[in-house]
Amino acid sequence: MTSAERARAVALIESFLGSFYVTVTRGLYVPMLAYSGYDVEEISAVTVAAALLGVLASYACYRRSNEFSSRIEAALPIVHGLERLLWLCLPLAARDAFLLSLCYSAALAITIPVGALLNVALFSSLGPEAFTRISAERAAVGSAASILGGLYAVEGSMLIGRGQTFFDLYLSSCLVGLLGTLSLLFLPLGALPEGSPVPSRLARGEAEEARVNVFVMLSLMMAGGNLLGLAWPPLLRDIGAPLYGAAALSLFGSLGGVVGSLALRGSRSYLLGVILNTTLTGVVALVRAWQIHVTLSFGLSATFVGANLLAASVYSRYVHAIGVGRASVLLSAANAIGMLAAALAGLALGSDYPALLALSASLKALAALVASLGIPGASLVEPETAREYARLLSSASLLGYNLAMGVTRAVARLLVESLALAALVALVLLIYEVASILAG
Amino acid sequence: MQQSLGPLARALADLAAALPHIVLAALVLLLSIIIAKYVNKLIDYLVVVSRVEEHLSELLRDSSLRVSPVAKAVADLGILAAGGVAAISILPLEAEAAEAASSFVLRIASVGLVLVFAMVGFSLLTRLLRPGGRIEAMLILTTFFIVFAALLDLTSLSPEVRSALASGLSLGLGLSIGVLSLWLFFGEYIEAKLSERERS
Repeated sequence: MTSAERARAVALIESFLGSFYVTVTRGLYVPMLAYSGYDVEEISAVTVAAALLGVLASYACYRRSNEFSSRIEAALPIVHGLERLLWLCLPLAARDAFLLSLCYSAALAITIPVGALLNVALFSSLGPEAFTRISAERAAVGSAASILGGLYAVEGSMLIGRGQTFFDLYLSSCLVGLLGTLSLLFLPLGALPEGSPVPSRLARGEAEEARVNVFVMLSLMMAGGNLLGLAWPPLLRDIGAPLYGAAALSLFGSLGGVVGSLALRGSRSYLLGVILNTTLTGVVALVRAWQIHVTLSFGLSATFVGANLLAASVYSRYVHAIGVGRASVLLSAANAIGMLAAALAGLALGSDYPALLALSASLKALAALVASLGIPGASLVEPETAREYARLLSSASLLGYNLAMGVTRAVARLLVESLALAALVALVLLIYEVASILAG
Repeated sequence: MQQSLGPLARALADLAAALPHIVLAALVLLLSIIIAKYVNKLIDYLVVVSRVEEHLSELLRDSSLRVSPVAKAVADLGILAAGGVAAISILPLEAEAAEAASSFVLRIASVGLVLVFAMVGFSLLTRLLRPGGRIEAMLILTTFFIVFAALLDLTSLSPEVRSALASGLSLGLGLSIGVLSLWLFFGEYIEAKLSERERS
């Protein structure tokens, strides 16, 4: 077995075991909270806190991407295993809301470095060319494993209260996940593709635009996808779908993931996937028959893979200019940002699913616009025009980013200053309080 | 000889009995001074972090404002007063004497506070109004009177003398403020009238 074959085998095994564990732990999370007596607002608040921490973790990883990608041999298995152990803590922490939000935030935040490190390791052992292909295969294998995971979670949760606890289910899936960690030890790590010595200015500019636009596209798609996930259950309930409708939806979604990962080949088809996904999202609100919703779920999952693969392919093409650590963190960070946006929107709109669906479709339409105009190699317009659009889009996004960072910094500084002033006043008051108590 | 040494021996014996208390009280005072030192450092740090001086300077358009000396003075007074009261409670005094002593310490602290706030008010007024020589002198005089009235409260003068002094001070204060405002508001008018009369 050559080292490339071994790397491919390890990547696929890890994806299979990891997806099983992810499907069970994430899928059981909300039912477990509902079972423990949390209501929707509390679940949303915990999710917002966790997603916020995830975004902060992404930012920290992005700033230090070179540092942690240099110590990958030790860091990957440790962080990978730690993630599984943290998720195992959730059923134990579910009794206390504060403890739970702490655990959940930590468990969610650690998925960022895990995803990034995994991507770095795969980049380095597979090489940029094979990376996109194996990513598609990993997505297919992962979707297949998530069908099994989903079945396991449904079967297991039926036995809850009859001698079975959520902890048992989490423990078993955690052990499966840890087997995946074990498999990573056999991953042959190659030399990291460093930034090429002197990238030409043109290449660097193009890479910069690709980096920003792909990130924006992926974040928008993730936010839209998460919002759709929030809106779909109440919609199904309203049109009178049977109880097994939701299960069928998720099953067909996983099947769609398998088919999509195998069917989509090449940048153009990825782009087609993003556009089709947007269209299907727009259709969801109009359909009243739940059987068609199941079909839609299949199509949506199959096409959503396009966004992930588009991002993976563009990043692997520009990995020399962007840097492998940064590219990997960006791929993982888009999910955190999408999740935060969806959680905030869910908190603001509640279960008003028409609004959630409209928002989801608009976000995806924006993503499709960015993808079809501003991503080099995939866009629908002439390469020259695409470059212009790409530059325009990336500078607009960077402007927005800088503005947001500036505002955030100002708010943070104001907060620190107010806290210091409050501490000053409290200190003086405390001194006089002590004096008055001593004086009787 | 024995008789004349008696009171001295008793006093020495009393002192010896009280010595541990005195040492402990001194320690408490020392401790309060050390605490004050660290609190001052903390206040300096908090003032720098909160940038309250910069914000106040922007607000009052004056870059020479200092908040930390005022905050430190107020905090130190509090700490020393607390230390003083704690030290007094350690000393083997009779209940009444201890109460009188601690109320005296607290009164010193409160006069100190009045002093600090009077100074702050005075300096703020002079910064904001930027009055010329005579009005500034008048402000200093007024501040001095107010502080003097507060100090009067600490003295162990007989109540009659104290109230006489206080009423004299407040009368003088009121009069001087009245004359100052008369001059401030009607000074030009009076001057014009006078020069008119001289000319005619």
